[in-house]
Amino acid sequence: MKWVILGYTVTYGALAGYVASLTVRLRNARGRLAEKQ
Amino acid sequence: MTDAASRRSFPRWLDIVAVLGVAAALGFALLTPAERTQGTPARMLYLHVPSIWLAYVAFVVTLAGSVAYLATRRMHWDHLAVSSAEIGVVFTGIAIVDGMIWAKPIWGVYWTWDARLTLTAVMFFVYLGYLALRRTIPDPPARAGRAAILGIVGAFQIPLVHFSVMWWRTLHQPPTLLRPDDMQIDGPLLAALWIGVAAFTVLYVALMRHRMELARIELVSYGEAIATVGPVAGDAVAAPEVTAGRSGL
Repeated sequence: MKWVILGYTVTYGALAGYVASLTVRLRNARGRLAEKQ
Repeated sequence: MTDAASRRSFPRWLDIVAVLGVAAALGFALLTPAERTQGTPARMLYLHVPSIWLAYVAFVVTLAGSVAYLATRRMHWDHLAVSSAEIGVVFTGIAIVDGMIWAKPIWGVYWTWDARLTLTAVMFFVYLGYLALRRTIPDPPARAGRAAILGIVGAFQIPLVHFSVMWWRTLHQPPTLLRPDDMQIDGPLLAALWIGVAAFTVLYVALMRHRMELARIELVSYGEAIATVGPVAGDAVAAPEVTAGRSGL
């Protein structure tokens, strides 16, 4: 069971990390664009 | 609801459906009966197969976006290609890592230089190279054109990776999905697998919407930066003037 817990933690952690990274990049890009306009 | 409001609310609904789908996939994966020969470690199937499926889908979309960009030169297609490649790299990385975690209790090793594993790793690094290539070229049309060529060439690896388990003798099991004969998997396990595939596909669409918006904003920001400060590179460099009789030669 420990391998399954490890596998699911790593996968869902990686997905959450990517979603968080994309959210921050998108927010920063929108902010920079709004400042210029 | 107006069309504009409908368009704005669609991604939000899609995000919610994606999160609920991924949560449901997790529930089905953990509550489905254990597989008879491998037992609990076989539950990695419900992560591993959807992840590599998504990688295939993402890189096929990158191929389509690359071909469409070269045919039309419209930046929208480049946004599609780069967004899909980035998400494909994430899912390929996940497939490799959870495959290693699955391999350890079943094969006794995390990694072996098996045809499927090696070709998947090569595919991962080629698309990582695709993303790295894009960071070296600031001019959007030049970047899109060169990346499109790599996006097309890289897609040749997809059938190679998928059919490697049938073309060569490998330790890896034959494909679970997209195989020429019937799938050898019981109903409840297959249902959990399809729920995982469907959930990850909805998640991919939701991520694509956001990643493509980021690509669009970056293009607009680049255009405004050029309009404000002029070309960034090359302006400060001028050819030296050579005056007759003073060259020192």
